[in-house]
Parts: sequence; C-alpha cells; structure tokens
Amino acid sequence: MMCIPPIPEPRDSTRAQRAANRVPSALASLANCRLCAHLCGVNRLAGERGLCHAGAHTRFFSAQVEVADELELIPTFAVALSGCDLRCDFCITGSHSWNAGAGLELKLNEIAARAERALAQGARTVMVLGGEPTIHLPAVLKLVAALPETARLVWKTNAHGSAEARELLDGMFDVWVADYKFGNAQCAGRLAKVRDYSLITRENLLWASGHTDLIVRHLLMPGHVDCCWRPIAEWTATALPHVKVSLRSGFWPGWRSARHQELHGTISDSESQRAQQIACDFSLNLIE
Amino acid sequence: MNQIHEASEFSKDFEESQMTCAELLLLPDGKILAHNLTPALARLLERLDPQDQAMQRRAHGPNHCEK
Repeated sequence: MMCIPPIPEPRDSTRAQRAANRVPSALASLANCRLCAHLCGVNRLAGERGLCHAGAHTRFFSAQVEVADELELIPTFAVALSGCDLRCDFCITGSHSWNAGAGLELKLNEIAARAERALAQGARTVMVLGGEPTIHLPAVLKLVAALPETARLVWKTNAHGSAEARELLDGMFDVWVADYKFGNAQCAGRLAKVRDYSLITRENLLWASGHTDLIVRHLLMPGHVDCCWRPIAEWTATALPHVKVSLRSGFWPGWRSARHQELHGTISDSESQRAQQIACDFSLNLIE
Repeated sequence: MNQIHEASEFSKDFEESQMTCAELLLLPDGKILAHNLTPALARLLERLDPQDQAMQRRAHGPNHCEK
C-alpha cells in the first residue's frame, strides 16, 4: 500500500500555495485510490477503475452561473465534474454523474478565468460539485490553486469521502454543502447501493462542522419523510444543533427513479408541510 | 433599490459572456421545477409568477423582498 507523505505547509502559506503543494500527494493517491469511502484501492493511474469508473483525468459537464442554491451562496459560478462514487437511482444528473467520461476535458486555466470573470460580475461564490468532486481531488486542488485567494469557495459533496480526502481538503473550501440523503441503511442500500451510509455521512458532517461553514442539505423524496428525513432531522438536532440545514422539496423523478414505485412523482404539499413540521419540532436551523 | 437594480443588471451580464443550460419540469398542477437554475431562467420564471417571492429572491438577489 502506498503511503502519502506528510505535507509540509508553512503557516503563512496562502490557500493557493497549500492547494498546489497538495497536488502531488493527491495525484499519488490515485495509484491506490482511497479518496471516497468505498476505499477500493484501485490504481487509477494504471487504468484500473473502481466503483466511480473515474480514471486519472477529470471532465466536467457544466460550468455556469446559477441561482438555485442557498441564498447566502448565490449567484454562484458552479463547476460540475463528471462521475460519482454513489449510484443514486434518482440522480438528477445521472447520465453525467454515472459516467466519468461524460462532458468535456477540464481545462483548469480556462475554468479559473471564467470563474474570475463571474466573480468580477458579481457572483458571490465559486462552487465545485459533481457528480462527486471528491473523486477528482487532484484536479480540484489545481483549480483551487488557480482561483483568487479572496474567492469564497463552496464544496458541494455527497459526504461520502474518506479521511484521506478530508485531509487533502482541509482549509481549501470556505463552505461545505453536504447532502444527507438517507436516514437508514435500507433506503441507502436500495436507492444508492451504498453500505454503512449513515456512519460515513455522519463522520464527514461532524468533521466538516469543525473545519468549515457547513450547510447540511436534504432533498425530500416522496414516501421517505418518516424513514429518511425524520431520523436525519433527529440526528442533526442532537449532533449538530446549530448547523444550517437546507431542506429541499424539488424532487424530480428523473434518471432511474421509475425503478422505485414511491419515486414516480414529486413531493406533495402535505409531505412538504410534514417535513417542515418535523424540522420545527427538532428546532433545526433551517435556511432557504 | 440600488442594490436590487445592481443585482438584476449584473445577472443579465452573465448570459452575455457564455452559453448556459437549465432544465424545467412542468407539472400537471402548473408547478414548475427547475434544475441548474440560471439568473436568466429565474427572471423568466419570476415573470410567469410575480407572486413567487422565492423566485424573486433568486432572480434579483436575496434581499429583494425586504424592500
């Protein structure tokens, strides 16, 4: 097993310098990839592919200014990287998220220049998302190194990263928007084919709450208010009582949702109201 | 008012410099769900439903409804 050498970082180094310093370690980690919590250990540099199917190169399928995210973050210049380590049947970007080869080659200087232009025009943040950006940490660190030091950077993640990934990400992003999708192992296994979901997600959320400005996001799914949202709300209220919570009700029955009877439609008004009441009952710090 | 004007103006600038992409899902009850909501699409949706305060905030900035 290859070990990543410790990263010497002078205290007065800039974010860009620290990001650049970490690139070699991140690249080396692809030889025994343990960036996501699957810890599959494939050698992506030699052409092996793990569950995410990602290789050594990074592609993106969207880079534009958007206003759909939390109000404190918008307008944001959002860069969506192709490929993901989860297989959520309801993924709204499934064709790109399940295919690390989708989209275009990520030309870092070009994207960084576009991000700078967006910031100059009034964008408040630069958001890196996917798919799942954790599987592309070498490219992400290069992008951070190319962005202005003053840019407010947002990491939009499925919270399924490994400790190794978190170490490489430490201090790189100002805000983490972390999806907490499932409230129990059965739903996580059935809808996203992922094991130990709650344990891994909670580990990431607890870490992020101590290292960044964390927003826990939950996308309400039809038929999953009580089995998924309620336990998530309860745990969040107990473990992260003051954290910002973004409850999203725009579920869209896309991609392979039709495989699951309860995911054929959208969220009903009554489900949305019940979910809001649960948030209220647990005194969650809801944000829009 | 100036802030609102500026937010609206700068969001118009974004679309002039690059191609953008967004998706809509129109529901039978008239609701519209949007994915990858761009500033231009937010302004369009706001015009379709001027009472939608959430969309106003996305089209014109977070403080739009506090005027």
